[in-house]
Amino acid sequence: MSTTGSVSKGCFTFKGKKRRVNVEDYLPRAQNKDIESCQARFHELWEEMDTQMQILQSDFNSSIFEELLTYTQCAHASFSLETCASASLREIPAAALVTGVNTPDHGTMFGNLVSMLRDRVTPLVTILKSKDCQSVRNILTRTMSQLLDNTHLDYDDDEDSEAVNSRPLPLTLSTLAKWYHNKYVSKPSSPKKRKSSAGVGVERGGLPPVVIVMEDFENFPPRVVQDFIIITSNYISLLPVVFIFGIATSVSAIHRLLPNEVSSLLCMEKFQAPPSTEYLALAISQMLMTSRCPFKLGKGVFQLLLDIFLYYDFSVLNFNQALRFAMLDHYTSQPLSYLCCNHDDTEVTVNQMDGQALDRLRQLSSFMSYVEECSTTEQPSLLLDEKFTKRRVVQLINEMFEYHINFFPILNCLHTLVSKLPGYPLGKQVREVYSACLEESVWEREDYKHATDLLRMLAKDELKTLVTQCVNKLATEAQLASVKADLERFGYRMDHIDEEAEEEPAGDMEMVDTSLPSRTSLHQLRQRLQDISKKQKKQSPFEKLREEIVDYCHALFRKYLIAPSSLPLYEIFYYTSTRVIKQRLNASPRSALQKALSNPGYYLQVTICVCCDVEGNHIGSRMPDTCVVYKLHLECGQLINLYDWMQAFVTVVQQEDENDSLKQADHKLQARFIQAVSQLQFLGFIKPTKRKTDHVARLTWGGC
Amino acid sequence: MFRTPKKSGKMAQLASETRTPKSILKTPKSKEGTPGKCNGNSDSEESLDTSDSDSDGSDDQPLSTLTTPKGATPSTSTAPIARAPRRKTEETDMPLFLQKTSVEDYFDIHSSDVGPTSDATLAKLDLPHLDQKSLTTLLTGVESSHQAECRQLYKEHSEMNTTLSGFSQLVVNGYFPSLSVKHILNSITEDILDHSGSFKSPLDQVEFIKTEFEKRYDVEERENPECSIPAQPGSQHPHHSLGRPYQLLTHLFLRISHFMNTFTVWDQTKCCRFRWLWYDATTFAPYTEETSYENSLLVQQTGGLAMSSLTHVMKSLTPNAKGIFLLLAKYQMENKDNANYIGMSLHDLYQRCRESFLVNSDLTLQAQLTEFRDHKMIRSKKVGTEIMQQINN
Repeated sequence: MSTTGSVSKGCFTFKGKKRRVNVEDYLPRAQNKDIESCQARFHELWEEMDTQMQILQSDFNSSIFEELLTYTQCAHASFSLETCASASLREIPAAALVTGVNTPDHGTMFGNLVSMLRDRVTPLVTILKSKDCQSVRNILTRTMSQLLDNTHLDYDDDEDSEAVNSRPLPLTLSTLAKWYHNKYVSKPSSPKKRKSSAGVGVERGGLPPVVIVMEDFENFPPRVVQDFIIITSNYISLLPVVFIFGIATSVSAIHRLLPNEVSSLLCMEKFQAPPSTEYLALAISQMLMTSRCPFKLGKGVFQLLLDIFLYYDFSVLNFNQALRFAMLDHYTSQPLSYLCCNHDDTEVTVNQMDGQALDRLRQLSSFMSYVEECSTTEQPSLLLDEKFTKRRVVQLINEMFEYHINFFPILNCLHTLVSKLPGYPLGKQVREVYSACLEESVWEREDYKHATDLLRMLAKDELKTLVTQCVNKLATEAQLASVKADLERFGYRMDHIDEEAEEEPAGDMEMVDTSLPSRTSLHQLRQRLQDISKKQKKQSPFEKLREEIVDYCHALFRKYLIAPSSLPLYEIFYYTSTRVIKQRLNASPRSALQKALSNPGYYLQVTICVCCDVEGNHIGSRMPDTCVVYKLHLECGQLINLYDWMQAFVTVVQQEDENDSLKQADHKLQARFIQAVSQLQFLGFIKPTKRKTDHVARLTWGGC
Repeated sequence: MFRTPKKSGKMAQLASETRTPKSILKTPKSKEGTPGKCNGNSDSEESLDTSDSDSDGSDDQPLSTLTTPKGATPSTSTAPIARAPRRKTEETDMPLFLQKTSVEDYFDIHSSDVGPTSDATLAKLDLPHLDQKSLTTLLTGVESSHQAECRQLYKEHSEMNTTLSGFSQLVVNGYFPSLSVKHILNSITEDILDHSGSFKSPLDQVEFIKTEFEKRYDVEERENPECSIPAQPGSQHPHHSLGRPYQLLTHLFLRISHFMNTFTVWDQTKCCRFRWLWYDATTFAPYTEETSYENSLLVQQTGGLAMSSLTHVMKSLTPNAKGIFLLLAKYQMENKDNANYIGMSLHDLYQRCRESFLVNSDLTLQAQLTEFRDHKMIRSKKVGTEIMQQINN
């Protein structure tokens, strides 16, 4: 950094020779072929996913956009220039589009909306963002430049600048109104003709409205919007303007921004866009919880991405980017990841593997444990025979696909069964259930046991609806037809439970041994009594059937919802580097800084030096100066006495044997102290204060 | 986490008075001083004065640094002892105690008005105030601890850097006091794109850069702004709007090290215009450049920068203008003991200048004074009908 220090300059340029990036330069040279194929796979899969995502995105808002489009179309259906007389009475139609707080997504959302408007309603669409519109003039510039295709304005374009300067159009709405009049009103038909056919609304209905979209309405300066709306309302008879306000919070924001006299000029209608959580649920179920895409997120990563979504931004766009990063990292860090491809390509890809790659595959921990479980006759060939191994790998990958095909429908069934239980033991959303299933075998979880216990207590009609819902979920899954049939049979039996009751043999009641042992502990006695009471209670036919259903479902889950981490070749399909994702996407600079200061050994990787390797508040004399000063400052209150601080610093740092040449050392120590304090000030831990001489104020608290 | 009891001012004071930690031994003057309070646990273990070790506090809680002094002054020792058991029960059965104590930390720090800090001032040291220059010279001789490890860290992190070699880079020091968007844009257009024309507005410039980049370059940029520019929040915004257009073409490297401002500098919407990847690149390298802008607390404000700029201006002045300034300066020097001195009236100044043949008209003087004002050499104040001129200190 010594090259970039100066007291007179803040920017430094270093000119380079390269102009284009060569991707290969950045990839490790070894195993080039594999890396290439990994890269190819990544692009292939990501493109697929990305297109899907875009389709989802446009579909997701389609219904609300349809409504908006109709609204903008109809708002000025009866617009004509003859209605000038009643102009003062007219209100500007305005649509308040409540978009939700996921602001990062709004760019794409409004982009879609605008292109739809341009395609289907009117070419005259302008989109305004608050960052460009800090004054009325700015708004007008933006509006006009977007509407008039930049041609008549002194906005940019270097070649035309002279011509424009000589004849700049005034930036007013009257210019726009004139332009609109020339282009749309007078052209299509002569004034005479229009007058003659004044009664017919068809022609005039063809006049395109001018749509002004304000993307982040809350961020606009109130004064500016108010003025702009008032100005526009004066031209409403000449220009068929429709406003669309994008609102992130609630409609009341409009009233906060606009006083009564301005909002009375508007005729507002509210449009509520669906919340982004719904969108996420859709995205997850369409992109992650499907057998189509072979790439899967491991338990930690999935949970982390969800957490980032739910606790940080609600942005599906960011979720998507995080997913992309996870995928990219998977394909670059796992050399065998090219096997994670579409099902059809599996066999070819496996057969192309060379011996080295196979060896690497054999070292995968999931494969190793698989080999251990195999019979002793197979083991040597799995480890040595190339062809045999390849065949087996293809088989395993096929099994993996098979597993996914069954996994997700059954998961949906499980979700259906548990999502309405009191207390939501496995969570309300399907993503929560999925996350639970990713972690471990779901039936071993405590909350799963709790959920089945609750299921065993459901009333008849509740259980009936759940079973029917499950049947519906399985309707499209051909390979699970038998499961579906079984569930249907259960449903049928529930409907005809009374008939079953008749066949209940009365004499079936076995005699329970009710005698109590003579000597027993209290605990045993209680257990015994409970058992007896259970056995004595006669189960109704429905209760029996319910047991049967729950047991059947349990067996189903045991069969299909095996935790993916226990499957062979798990590492190839599942991305599990939670640490990388967390560091790259969800970093915590504060804690990094704090850690560096309070526990420097963590970063310095010092093994010999004991002093730096201590957690807690021990201060070592050989720690970096800033750390010592930081640790000393932690112990202080709101104000810190510089003199005492320095003395403490000197005491900690100075070693006993350094007492000779004290004067020189003192100067050095002072300089070191000053530097360390300056750094703490720079990092924002302290600031100078005038409340007491030679004191500084502490800006943080509770640092530990 | 467990340090709360120590924080409560009075008790900590007592503790530090009764025990004599090592650091205090060397600084006999600051008995009740903060550093005494500091070394609580670490020092008490190796304390020379073991007469009042904290036996009751630490036996059942090895982690805790509860240093309740048993042998404290009898009249006041009741308070801390009475307090200790109550806290212990809280800690054992309340899972929330971590939060609680950190909240208490806050109030402990902010409750006492000035805090129990000593009245000792730096004047007690017979060390001279250092200016920036002598500080730098002193520091060059100092070897920081763990240099080898630091170098290793630096090497690790700079590996990422090498991927950029060959590309044009722009390094922007965000901590530079008078940095503006214009500077950044100009360095791009002038130094990287070799364009020597001027632009009507920053927006035009951005547009130009955008088209140029699309034509010629792919990855190009390395910005290194320190993110802590709390002094000029206004300048963030345009910087952002220009960040957007060439987002696809450039890579932005941002170094963040401010503890408090990290997350407040950019809001979510701004953050989301970029696709950030975070890297923790702690190197323990000193912030020498960053802290050298003469706003450091302990460094003597030498006015070195101001002086050098003043000499520059002085050198470029005409002899007459120099004369005016000297005249004003001499007058101010003469009046330096006068507490009520508010400056020299314009009329007075004009008379004297005329007498010394420095100016020939009122207007010339006015023009000259305006130039001085622009260079911040003097300031003018209106007192009544008179405009007083005064040289900036």
